[in-house]
Amino acid sequence: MSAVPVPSAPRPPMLTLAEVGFRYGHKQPWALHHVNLTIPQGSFHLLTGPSGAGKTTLFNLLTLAQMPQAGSLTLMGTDVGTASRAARAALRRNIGVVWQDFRLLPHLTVRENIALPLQLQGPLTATHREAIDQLLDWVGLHPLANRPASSLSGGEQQRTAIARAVVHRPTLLIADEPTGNVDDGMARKILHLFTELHKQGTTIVLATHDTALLQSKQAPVLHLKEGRLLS
Amino acid sequence: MIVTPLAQALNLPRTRLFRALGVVTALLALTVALLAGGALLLQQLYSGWQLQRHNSVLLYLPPETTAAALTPLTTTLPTLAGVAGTRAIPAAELYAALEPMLPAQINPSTLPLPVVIEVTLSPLADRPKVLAALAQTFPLAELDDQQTMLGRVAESVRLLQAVALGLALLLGAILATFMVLVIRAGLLAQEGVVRLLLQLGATDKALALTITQQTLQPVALGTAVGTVAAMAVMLTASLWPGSPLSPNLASWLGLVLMPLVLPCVAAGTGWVTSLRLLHHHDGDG
Repeated sequence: MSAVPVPSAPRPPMLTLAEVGFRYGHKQPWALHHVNLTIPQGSFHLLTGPSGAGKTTLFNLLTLAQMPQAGSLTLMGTDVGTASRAARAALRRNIGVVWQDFRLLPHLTVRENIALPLQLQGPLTATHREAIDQLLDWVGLHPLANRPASSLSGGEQQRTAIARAVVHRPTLLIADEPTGNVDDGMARKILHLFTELHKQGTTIVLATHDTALLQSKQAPVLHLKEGRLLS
Repeated sequence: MIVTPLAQALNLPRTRLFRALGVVTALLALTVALLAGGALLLQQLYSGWQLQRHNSVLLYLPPETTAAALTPLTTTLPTLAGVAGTRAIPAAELYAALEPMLPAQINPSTLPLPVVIEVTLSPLADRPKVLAALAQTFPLAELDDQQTMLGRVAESVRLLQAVALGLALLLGAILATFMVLVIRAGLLAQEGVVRLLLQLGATDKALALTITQQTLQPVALGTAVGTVAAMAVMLTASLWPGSPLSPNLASWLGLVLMPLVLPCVAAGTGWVTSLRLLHHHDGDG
């Protein structure tokens, strides 16, 4: 007797934006306006749009760097607008972020930069150290592990930033042009890593202008234009 | 000292202002210690003097009182209840006491001075009763139980102690202001680091603790240096030849313990200031 296929239950949302708006000053036009978006847990989304479309603003809202000025943003079941600062900090510890400008701490070594998200959660364990070593190998930075981040090239800094974003196995990974400063080979490796993380259940939002990536990756595309979400 | 990863990441720059925190604290600690030690020493001196004065009454008899008339009086006095002893103050002693207060051209020995008898009361004497008995026994004598003077001195001592306390509070306020400036400047210089750490999930409390710990290091060192310097000053003052100062345990304890208020003020200010300034970061700002 053949098994009857059971329809899978809809996945609960990782984040929900409802009528979200944001502007830089009361007299400024809305950088984002009436944005409605639901990203289910374990999904992979691409975010794109021309310059000035509100991509950075949406990126900042998703990473909780800024709070919506209109509407509501619910992340992992928590309304971030009403959550306490401590609750927001706890949410951030579950997000991995790759910034376009890397944001490494220049006076710390590559290893220390990568370890930072883990150390904010508690003392490093042997498992943590092993994970850091594996990531260092994986991004090809083991020989540079003890060098200060300030001495790295752009590509090396980007790889360090990616390793830092994923070292604590975040439930949500948000990356802004993560392949912008690396060669094609490393770009493929990074996308492979993201795909692997996605398979393991990590929700990923990847902002990019890379048309080749947009065409090759079978993922829903969030297209922003003039502060509004088109798709 | 253990350097936490957070302290390693958020290391307040050792600017001139930051380094000055230690020097300022040392000067404040020295002053606070001396004020506290001095106030307690004053209390100690006053208490000793008061004890001595409180147990004595001066009897002033008219200058014309003769030795023959005086003898029966001095023999009667010790028999009164509550009187522990008597001493007729020699005229030379009175002259010596008056001389500095008189113009040079006046010879105190030419002045008609009263006969003064110092009556020492027993510690458990009922003071008003003894005074009444003295007044009844020697109707011609004028009694000075020194309470007015004691009251004035006590007021002066209390005033000086209040001034010392006020100054100590002012110094604490100066340190608090300095702490605010140091933390504000430090966080401004490390704004990018603070934003990143908050973004990675650091809590306000963890960051405030790191910032406060870093600023407390020069404060603790300054307090120790200032207190040791104050102890040296007090010791030198008490060992100086002819010095009337002999600080007791309470004075020494006050001198050593009072400066500890400074690190407490610094810790409280550091914590509150850090939290307030961190609130301006994060997505709210």
